[in-house]
Formats: sequence, structure tokens, C-alpha cells
Amino acid sequence: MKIVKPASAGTLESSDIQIRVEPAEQPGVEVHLTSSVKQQFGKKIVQVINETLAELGVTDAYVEAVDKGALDCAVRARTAAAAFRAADVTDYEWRVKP
Amino acid sequence: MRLRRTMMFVPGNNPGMIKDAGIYGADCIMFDLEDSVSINEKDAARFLVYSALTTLDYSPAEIVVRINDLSSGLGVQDLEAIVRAKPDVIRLPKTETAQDVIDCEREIERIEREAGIPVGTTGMMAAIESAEGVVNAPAIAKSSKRLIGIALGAEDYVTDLKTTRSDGTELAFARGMIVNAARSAGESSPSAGAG
Repeated sequence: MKIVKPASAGTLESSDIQIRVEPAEQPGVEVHLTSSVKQQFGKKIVQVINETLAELGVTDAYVEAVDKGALDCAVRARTAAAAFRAADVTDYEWRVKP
Repeated sequence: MRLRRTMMFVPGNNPGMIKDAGIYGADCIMFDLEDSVSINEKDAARFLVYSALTTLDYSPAEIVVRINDLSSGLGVQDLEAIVRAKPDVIRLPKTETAQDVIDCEREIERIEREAGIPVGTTGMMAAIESAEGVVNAPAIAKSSKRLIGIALGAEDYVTDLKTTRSDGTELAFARGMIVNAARSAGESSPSAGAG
């Protein structure tokens, strides 16, 4: 999935995370994270963002993430919503719950 | 028999409320994709509820998801995501005729088949919110074996009647009609006080 325009999803409310996805100036995915719990959970949050984008086939993107204590499921949901918006794609491929 | 004394509505685009929804002990938790979600956030709410239902454990609560009505163009998109997340029940708003239930069930069945989910897994609840819907309650109640109950959307109903809420007198007919329709169809828990 190719990122074609800047787009964001999520809010700055508690337990949420705001994800902004933009077209990359360089190849690859670069994630810039701001979080009050970055020392403890920063690597994990970035990992979830990277895994979500990889599952969606996003290979090149610049991601700005502002975390307010979101659970992994919220990080995944906001990343996916922002990526689909930024790719201008609405053909979602939903998977069945295991 | 499953108890349905309390149904807690949770806005579908609020991660904080979704995270804590299980701690209050409600019999049913109803994640809302309809009126509590603004039109430009429908996609994000769909991702959030799907992600929560495939990750978090709300047991022993019954999980219900209120979708947008099919005529809005959003309802089928909601079903494409939510049926795959396997909630117990889909709540269909603005039910006016038996055909509304049949149309929704057809989409649920198609998605269940496509996804390899046993057909009939997903239950349905019809929410009646208009005078037309109340009049058609008997036919609605018998329109699908998936129906586990009928609810009355009281605020929208009294608005449709061009009146306001008072001591409940204005809801007496609708409540009686819906309870009787549900009971005659053998549904387990006609919900006639919601909204």
C-alpha cells in the first residue's frame, strides 16, 4: 500500500494515540514517537506501529506518533486507520478473529 | 438463560472507555458505531472496535455492536469488519420492517460464509425507533431466527411521534406492542425499556 498524502487518526485524549502518516522522503519506515511512558514502553509502541504497517504492505512512510497511554490494540487501530487514509484506500481486508 | 438486565453503551471511537468497559459488570456491553461516532470518524471507530474485540476479553459480558443502518451506506462496511470480530450480537438501528432485518441478515450470512465462520454464529437485535417500526413489530419479531431481542429506541420514537418524554405514558403502547411481539415470536429477552 503506497502512502500518497499526509493523514492522521486518533486523538490526544487519555488512553489514545494520535498517528500521523506522511509520504516518506527516504525509503523505509521512520517512526517518531512522543510518549510520557517512552522509557518503559517506547520500543514496544514503535514495534506495534511497524508491524501494523508491514502487515498492510506499507514499505515507505514517515510516522509521527503522540501516545497518551494507548493499549496495543488502540495503537494498531489508529495506525491502520491513518495508513488507509494516507493511502487513500478504502478496500479494507478484515481478518477473522482467531 | 442469559441475563440481560443491563446494557452499557460504549462510544466506538473512544479508546479509554473501550479499555475500561468490562469493569462495571454490565450484562451486555454495546459498542456503538452509530450515533456516538461522527461521520468523518466512522472508519477509525470501525478499526478500534474491531481491534478491541479481537484483543480484549470482556467475559462474562455479552458483546453487542450497534452498526449504522444499511441505507446509510455505512452499515455493510460495519458488518464487513465486525462480523469477522465475532461479537455475540449485531444491533440493527432504525428497524422499520421485517425486510430491514432480512436484508441485514443476508449480509451477515454472506460475510460468515466468506470468512469461514459457521452460518448463524452472529446473533441479531432489532432496534425499533419509529411509529412504523412499532406497528410492524410482530412481523419484525418473526423475521429471523438470529433475533435474540427487540429494543425500543425511546428518544427517537417519541421524536417520531412528535411528542416528548414524560412519565412514560407516551411509551406504553410501544413497550406493550414490542413485548407482546417478541413473546409471541419466542424471543428470549424482549427489551422494551431501552433508549
